[in-house]
Amino acid sequence: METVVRVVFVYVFVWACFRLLGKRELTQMSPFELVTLLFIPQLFSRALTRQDYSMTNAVIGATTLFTLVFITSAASYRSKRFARVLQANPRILVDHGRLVVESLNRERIAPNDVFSAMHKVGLERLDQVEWGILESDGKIALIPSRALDGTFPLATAQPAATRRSE
Amino acid sequence: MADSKSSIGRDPSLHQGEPREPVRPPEIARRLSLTRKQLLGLPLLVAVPILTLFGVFGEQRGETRAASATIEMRIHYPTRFRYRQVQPLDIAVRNISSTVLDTIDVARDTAYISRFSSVRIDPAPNTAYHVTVTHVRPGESRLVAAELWGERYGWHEGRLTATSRADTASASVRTFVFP
Repeated sequence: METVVRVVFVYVFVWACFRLLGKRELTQMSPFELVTLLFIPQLFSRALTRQDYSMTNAVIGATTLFTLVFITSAASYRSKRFARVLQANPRILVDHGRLVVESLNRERIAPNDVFSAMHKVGLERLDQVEWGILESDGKIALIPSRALDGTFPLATAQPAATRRSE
Repeated sequence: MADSKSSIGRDPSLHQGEPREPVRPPEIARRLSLTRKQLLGLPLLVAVPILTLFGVFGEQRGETRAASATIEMRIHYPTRFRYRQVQPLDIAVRNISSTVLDTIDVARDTAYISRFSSVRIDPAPNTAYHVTVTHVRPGESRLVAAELWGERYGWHEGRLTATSRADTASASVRTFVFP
């Protein structure tokens, strides 16, 4: 019973930490963040198992974790309110060729990151971007501006989501 | 879409007002749809932590009692516990006769006790898993304690006996060690 409670606690705790850190941490990790992430299992493993190395305990822990994953995914699909609590909202970074500075500051995204994402889909100027959106999963999605004739400004530039700073 | 006010600058590449929003995705009637495999598997998956919360996979102890003409024996033992965990096995023997019993031999079935990799017995056994308590006055109880370390999983069953002269009290115990 205690294992279930401990896994629930760690799951909520780790989720809350990621939620507090923001979308950025989901896809891009600095060396410091990577070290932090590697430390988490080290810190929690003993607290979770409590020297109980039985297969039974491992199965209970794993099934509790999978159950939590399923419940949170099902609940966030069914309930918008729960989804809002659980997931970060997308944020507009580029609005019709202009950087939205407050969004960049809030998400700690440098213009370089936006430009890097643009370059990956063949865009070089901000005015070629109609929308730049930081999605819930931490990726920057770019919607290129259309020319007057309805075509995209560059032949290679198609609407695309690109992962930042891979 | 999250609120995204801009800080206004003179740079025309910076946004200077409330941004319009990209087209939102259409709404659908959301409901959970599970495959047959999921319908079978998910209840099993969810059942494990729920059953654990109700103590199904936890440690459980039992008590059994046996008596003869002169000896009463109460045994507190683990009915189930987990691999490599330690559980106490307590045997209380009591003289229910009106005379002093010089010796009571408390013996644990080797078939049972040898299934546990480490057994610590107090008082120390004379021979393997065999403890003798002496000079037990009428009404007096003595405790023979052991610690069992579950190394081999599965069901383990055996008998515990307390013998004084030709009088024997005996009870069987059964313990399950989770893998």
